[in-house]
This record gives sequence, C-alpha cells and structure tokens, in this order.
Amino acid sequence: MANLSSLVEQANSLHVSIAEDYKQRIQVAREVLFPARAATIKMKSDNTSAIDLRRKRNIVDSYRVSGLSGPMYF
Amino acid sequence: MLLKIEIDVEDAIEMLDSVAAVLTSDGFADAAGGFAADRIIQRTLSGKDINDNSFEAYSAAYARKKGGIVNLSASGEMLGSIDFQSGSSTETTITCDSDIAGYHEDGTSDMPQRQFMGLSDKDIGDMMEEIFTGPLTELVG
Repeated sequence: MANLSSLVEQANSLHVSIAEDYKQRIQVAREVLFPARAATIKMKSDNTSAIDLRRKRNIVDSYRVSGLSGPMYF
Repeated sequence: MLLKIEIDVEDAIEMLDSVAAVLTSDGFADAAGGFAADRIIQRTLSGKDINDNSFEAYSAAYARKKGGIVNLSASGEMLGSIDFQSGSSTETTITCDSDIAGYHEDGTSDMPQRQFMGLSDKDIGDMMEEIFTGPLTELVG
C-alpha cells in the first residue's frame, strides 16, 4: 500500500502536468488570437515605410532637378 | 446459511488516502486555474456566456463590420489577456486585463451585457472531472 506522502507526490505531479497542458493551450490560443492584430500593426508600419520611401525619393528627385548636391540621409 | 461479506480495509484506506492526496496536492489550484482560464477562452470563442447561453447578437451595424459569430473577439486583445495566478494550493485567480471586459461584463447603454468571466455549471463539472476524478482514478489504478 502506497503511503500518503507518496500519493501526494503522485497527485502533485499529475496536477503539474495538467496545469502545464492548459498553460500551453492558453498560449496557443493567444497565438491564434493575436496574429490578426499583429498583421494590422505590421500593415500600418509597412504603409508608413512606403510613404517614407516615396517622400525620400521625392527629396532625391528634388535634388536632381535643382542641381543641388550634398549628402542624402535615408 | 451464513452470509459473509469481506471488506478489504487496506483498499478502503488507500482510497481515502488517495482522495486526501488529490485534495492536498500543491498543484491543485494551478491545475484548476489553468483549466478555468482555458475554458473561459474556449467557451467565449464558441459564442457561449457563463450560463452556456449564446451571447446576445451584435447590433446590425457592428455585425456588418465584424460579421461571424458573437465571440467577443475582434483584435483578440481581451481574450488574449486572460490569465491565472495561484496564490496557494487552494486558491487561484483568473484575470482579464482589458478595459473592454468591464463593458461586456456589466453592459452599457449602447451594449447588452455579455458575461464571459466565470464558469458555468457544466464547466465546474468538467473541471472536477479533470482535476479531481481523473487524478484520483490514476492513483487508485
């Protein structure tokens, strides 16, 4: 017959395993729930980058048209 | 005629010890917290409230924008913030760190009440099966 402390250890080990399993499930649910939001943030960031790039190209074009020279920072 | 019933006291004691072991395990609250947090997320995503009833429908305007099932999940921020912390082996707290949660829980003049932070009777039954009956069955063999 198993003694009480050994049974408690076994029960604890089973509970730890159950808790870990659910923590994993919760994490997976978060990864499934958040991508849409992450994609929106990335899209906004990409749009901003595209706008910045166009603005920088305009600046380069302006330099060429005016014949000005000098360092250009990107 | 002599009727004889034999009772194996050792088996009975082991059963009682196993019940005590499951109930006094340090991981009991953590297992309960994990189950509860996951169940709230999954049940809400399936469109059911804390009484296992379907959430009240979205307004026509919001439904056109969001569409689909009423699952309180637009950006995922609210349900993604659900978590649990166990204060001891007998206490666990489920939290939802989102301002929107309060509007759903209590309802507003523009939004119906859609309670999601809690466990239904079925959820509690399933939780006991998972954290009590399951481990007990394993211990008793």
